[in-house]
Amino acid sequence: MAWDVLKKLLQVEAPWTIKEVKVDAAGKRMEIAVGVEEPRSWFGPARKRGDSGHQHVWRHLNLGPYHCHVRVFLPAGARTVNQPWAGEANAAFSHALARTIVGWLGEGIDLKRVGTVLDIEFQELWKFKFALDTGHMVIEEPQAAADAAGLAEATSEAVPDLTDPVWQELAEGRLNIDIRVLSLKLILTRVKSQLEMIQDREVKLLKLRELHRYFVRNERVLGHELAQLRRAR
Amino acid sequence: MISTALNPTRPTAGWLMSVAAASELIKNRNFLSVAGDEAALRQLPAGNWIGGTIPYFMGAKGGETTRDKLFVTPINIRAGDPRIRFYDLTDLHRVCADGPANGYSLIIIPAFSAVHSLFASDAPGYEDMFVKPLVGWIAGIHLDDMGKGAPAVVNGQTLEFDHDRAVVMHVELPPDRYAHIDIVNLFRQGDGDSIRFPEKGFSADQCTINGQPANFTDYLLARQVDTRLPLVADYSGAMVNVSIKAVDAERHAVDFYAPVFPGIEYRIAASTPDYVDAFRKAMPDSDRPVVFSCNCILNYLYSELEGKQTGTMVGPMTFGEIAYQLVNQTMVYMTIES
Repeated sequence: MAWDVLKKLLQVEAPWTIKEVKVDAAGKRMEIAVGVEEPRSWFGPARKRGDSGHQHVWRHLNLGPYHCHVRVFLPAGARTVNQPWAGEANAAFSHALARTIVGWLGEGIDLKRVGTVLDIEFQELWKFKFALDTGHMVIEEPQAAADAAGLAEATSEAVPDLTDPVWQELAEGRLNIDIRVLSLKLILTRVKSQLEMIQDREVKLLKLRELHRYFVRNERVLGHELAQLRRAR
Repeated sequence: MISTALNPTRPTAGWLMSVAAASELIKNRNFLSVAGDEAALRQLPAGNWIGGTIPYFMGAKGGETTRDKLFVTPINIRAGDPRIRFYDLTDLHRVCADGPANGYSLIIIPAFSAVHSLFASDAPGYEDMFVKPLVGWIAGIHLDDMGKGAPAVVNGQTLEFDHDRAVVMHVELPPDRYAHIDIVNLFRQGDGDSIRFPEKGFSADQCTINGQPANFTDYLLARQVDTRLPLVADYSGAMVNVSIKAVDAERHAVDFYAPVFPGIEYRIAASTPDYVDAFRKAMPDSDRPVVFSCNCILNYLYSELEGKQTGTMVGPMTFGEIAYQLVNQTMVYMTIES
């Protein structure tokens, strides 16, 4: 019965099932093993497809005060599992957790705070963000929160709104401005090279947010550059 | 007694001074950044300072190699007491995120250490990189001591010397001030071939030359390229160097003092006619007082700067310069503006 509730909470649906739950009360850690339910056969025992022998563990969304880790036994032939409680083969976080983090970063919440709220080591978060930045990871099924209303973070009268197309034009090199500030030259080059590698729309938006945030945070040194952005609108 | 010229409350990039004079500044509870030979640094008392080893300097009287003097930079524009701490491999990526909302972070990293490699490779991707000012240098040793000693950095509050960690001073500024970091790079991209590398690394063999696959060692040797000239990349108008350390014909690989990155176009630098003269012309306005500067040991050696002045810029001649990310053969400076 309890596992049925857990299945609903985790959205584990057939053919997947929960095979084992380990709870470390002292360490506030829960590990949930998920695998494929073997189908019944009318002709005696079913031919075991068996597990592929591969298993992955992903950190998933917390369950109350417990860190939730999902251990997934991949069935033979399976390479990826497109489920919210599973993640990419090279990832530490489940899809659901990854989307949550990206969504919060997109709302302007910094990495430290995300780590504090989710109780995730900063180093783990930084590795995750680095993989996004370098195009080694994509976030599928971008959240609806990527709408224009969700794009706004810190604002400034002098800095064009994040929804202004000037940011994409600047980041993609279609708008060239005279830049006097070293840090802008460096961050713009970084963003341009990252955008060349990134396919995911949500991650591209994240890069534009980073550029916008840089301008808001450094507004007083960027008068020359901001004047050009305003003229270009 | 401290000379009135060593007024630690005046904005300055610092002074070359004796161990005794530096000790007095420390005892007077000044916050300082100190560069010098390890033996000289070890004579300093505990206090509010960070340090790194290097015996090469640009002083008020010109380039100087000395094991006896120290180059002292006062941290005299600040709001409150700066925070000093080490960073290791596990937390170096937090160095910018840990910096004050308004201020800057001064970092010194021991050359040839794992944190040096890590920073060179990954710093551009660190959280809050370029958003918060990060300036500093790579500690080195006397070239006569290569193979015998190791560069070190120091937390002056605890007098811990360390070969494997970076030391950082996080400096908060008054709300009406901000830090401005810039570089003076006399090298420009030459009009030669376009060079790209497929992977990030301190060493490269494969590359493309004008879009065609090639071996970089073969390319340099066949053209007898002067390897004192760095590779130069154009970062949206900022010329960023990658200096060539060695061309290893046996390994068929070229080693660099900083990593090359994929997605970046490099060209061999155009030769610079007279470094000292070109440097004087490239100096920033004198009405913006410089509070930190450093220059590259390769500029010191290749341009024979010993005894020569490079304008008003003073500071350690280092094994690498940090203007947010690691740069080579470049002078880095910081001004505090309002």
